[in-house]
Amino acid sequence: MAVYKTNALVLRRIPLGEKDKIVTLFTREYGKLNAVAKGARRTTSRLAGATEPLMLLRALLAEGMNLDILTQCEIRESFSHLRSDFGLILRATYACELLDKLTVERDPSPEAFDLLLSTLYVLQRAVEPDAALHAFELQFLAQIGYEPRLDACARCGKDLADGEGAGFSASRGGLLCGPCADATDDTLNLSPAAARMMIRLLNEEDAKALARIEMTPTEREEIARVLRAHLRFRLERDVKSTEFLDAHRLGAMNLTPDAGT
Amino acid sequence: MVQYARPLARLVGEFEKLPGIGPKSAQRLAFYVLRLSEEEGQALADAIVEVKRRIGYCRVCFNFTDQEVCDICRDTRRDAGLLCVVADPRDLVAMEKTGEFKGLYHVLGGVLAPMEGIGPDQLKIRELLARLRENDMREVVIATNPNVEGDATAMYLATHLKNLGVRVTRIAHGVPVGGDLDYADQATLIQALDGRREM
Repeated sequence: MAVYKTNALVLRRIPLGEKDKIVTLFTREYGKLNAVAKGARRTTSRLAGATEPLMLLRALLAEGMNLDILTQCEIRESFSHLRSDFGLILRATYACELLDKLTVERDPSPEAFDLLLSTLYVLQRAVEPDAALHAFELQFLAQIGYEPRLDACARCGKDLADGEGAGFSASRGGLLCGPCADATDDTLNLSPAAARMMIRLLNEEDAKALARIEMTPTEREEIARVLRAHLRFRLERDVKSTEFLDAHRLGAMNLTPDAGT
Repeated sequence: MVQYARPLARLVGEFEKLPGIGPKSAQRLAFYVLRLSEEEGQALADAIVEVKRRIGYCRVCFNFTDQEVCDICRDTRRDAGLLCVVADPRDLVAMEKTGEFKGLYHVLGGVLAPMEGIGPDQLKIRELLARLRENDMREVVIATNPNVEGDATAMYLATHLKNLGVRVTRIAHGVPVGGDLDYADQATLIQALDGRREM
């Protein structure tokens, strides 16, 4: 495997030296890996545009001593529509960061690759971008075994049909029944409608259907809050783009109030 | 293992902290300094100390300067109705070297980077908005890099600046001068096509 070809999505990149970059690629066949893109910071470099985040590449990599070298690549999809919308950039960046934080290097996961890719496509034409993003969060969590329990009480195990719970607990990792909701400290509001929406997002695999899903403001707000808490509890570390995304969702991506402005 | 005399080791250590300098280069630089005459060595040391002591940010545009307001901001021959927004003082230098831009600048001090947690509050955006409210500007040219962070920053700025009723433009991106179409990547060519001009 001195030289190998793969489909890869650029998750992020950091500058290296004067004119190189280290790119973090998420590949279908080899999982996440770091590679050096030599000369990619020169304006005339053929790699310059391709080694930016959110580019889907057909890449040729050569095994290196420490890091592999990205020798050639062709852009398969540049997601230009995502890039031209501030809210979509934030959501796509968040999805990439979440995946980056929850995967280890060289651990192939074709399912996660396909999921992220289809999420980026769905984001480009979704009626409700947050539905696409929450579906990604839920389905990705399910893939790695952190799926929130939505069909039964996460504390006592009582069946809860159709999301008819009394709240959600991040520490318990799922819906709660009435008595358990009262007995748990970190119970968050999750209306049955929002819980049903979560179940739908968790199971909806058809991209076209996902792109058409609409959410009520209550569903949007409750699901965002519940998932945030659930993720924070499982991750035990912050996803940095979260803060941005939350601020943007509130329409408050404005500067914090201050006498000067 | 005796390697260097203590003062020399200290110098090597300091050089090693510089970007792109590894142990070998640090050693080479330190030995070069050792061979300098005392005046030359003093000049180097003075230059470093002076930069640290005297250079600060311009009160108006946040470029580096040794005065309260930088030379560009004080230059009355420049077009005060035209403002170029750049991420970094080095970008300002690059723009200035073209000799084509006659307006004023505003240095943001970075770009929005969600993954690094850099938000609008960490940049000089508040100051930019205040500046535009106080001064009558015709046009704001956004000159951030054409990458994800640069695009995000440009879009964010455009939304906020347009609310102030000022014309907002962004520098073109496409095929570099001296470049080769065959070797340009698709993303660049798409941008170049989008930004094509009537001849």
